[in-house]
Amino acid sequence: MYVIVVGAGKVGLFLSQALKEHGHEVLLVEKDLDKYDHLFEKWGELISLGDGSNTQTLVRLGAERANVVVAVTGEDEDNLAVSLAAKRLSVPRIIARVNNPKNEEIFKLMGVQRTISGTRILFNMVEQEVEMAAVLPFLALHRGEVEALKLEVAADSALVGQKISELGLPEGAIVSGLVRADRLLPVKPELVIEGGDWLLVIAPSEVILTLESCLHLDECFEKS
Amino acid sequence: MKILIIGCGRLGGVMAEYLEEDGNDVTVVDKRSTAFRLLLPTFRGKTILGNGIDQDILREAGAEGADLMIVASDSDNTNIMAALVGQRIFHIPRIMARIYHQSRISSYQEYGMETYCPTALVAGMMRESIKKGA
Repeated sequence: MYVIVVGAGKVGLFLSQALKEHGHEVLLVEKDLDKYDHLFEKWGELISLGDGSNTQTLVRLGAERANVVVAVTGEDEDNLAVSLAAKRLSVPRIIARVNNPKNEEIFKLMGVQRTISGTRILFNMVEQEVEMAAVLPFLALHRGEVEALKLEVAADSALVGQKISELGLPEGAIVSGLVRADRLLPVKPELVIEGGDWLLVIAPSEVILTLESCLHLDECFEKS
Repeated sequence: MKILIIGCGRLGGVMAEYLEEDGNDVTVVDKRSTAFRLLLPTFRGKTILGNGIDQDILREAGAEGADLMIVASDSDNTNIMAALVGQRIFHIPRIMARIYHQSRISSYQEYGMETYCPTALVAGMMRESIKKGA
């Protein structure tokens, strides 16, 4: 795949190197001359000088045959402009970093669907840690919009004796696994929960708080 | 008219003064607090310190219900983003944009914004003048 990465900050540099190591053709674009000069010594032809938010520059860099354009500068206005320029050239996949989560809305409104906000992912994870001491979030998937959690069922939990199908989980939440005596059991609707079980739950972030009441988390689960 | 101006540099500042003089309700936004010093002491419009791409700043500046937005910061990308937020989120009916790079004119026009590129305007005028032999 041919990937154009715009913005040679820490994120852009790491990404370009990692993609290259994975066998992709990568071009890193930086508009700041001093930064470019400094990086050229080490990176050589991998890096190119230019303004990635300019359609003509993108054309010169071969954006019309690019599979992906990634906008990862430190400024959201630049990332938006890069995404819109790439969109104009019909680049099949455009991924934009959104530094301030507040700005996600305008990216979506402009049809830039793939946005990644490190701030939001961090926020979601911290919020879980703070507000949901009873559950242990262990994985943020799909840019933090989906979370994987594991919960331990206490011996006196109201859940003991309930079937998986009776849990009444909020929309979108699923029990994806149950660990009993260190063995992963297939999750079937009629499986009855026992004390000491570990439930692995995958759920969209927005229903995590609803999960708490459904699963009696405050009374039944302990933080591991 | 309720007018919102992003960027209080030479162009934004002068526009703010002109439009206020013409009897409009003018608010000017800039992220540098020193920028407002350019305004005449007689300027009675509002000044808001903050980034013009920030929805909350634009709301504070009265973007809801504004009749016209002029984007005149020193960065084309800031201008396009502020203009898009004004148009798509606050539904400001008319947007005028100052652009530095001529190559971007067509993309602004795609979004239904009026564009003014000083370089292109001056170059065009000089060219005409030379053609006429004046």
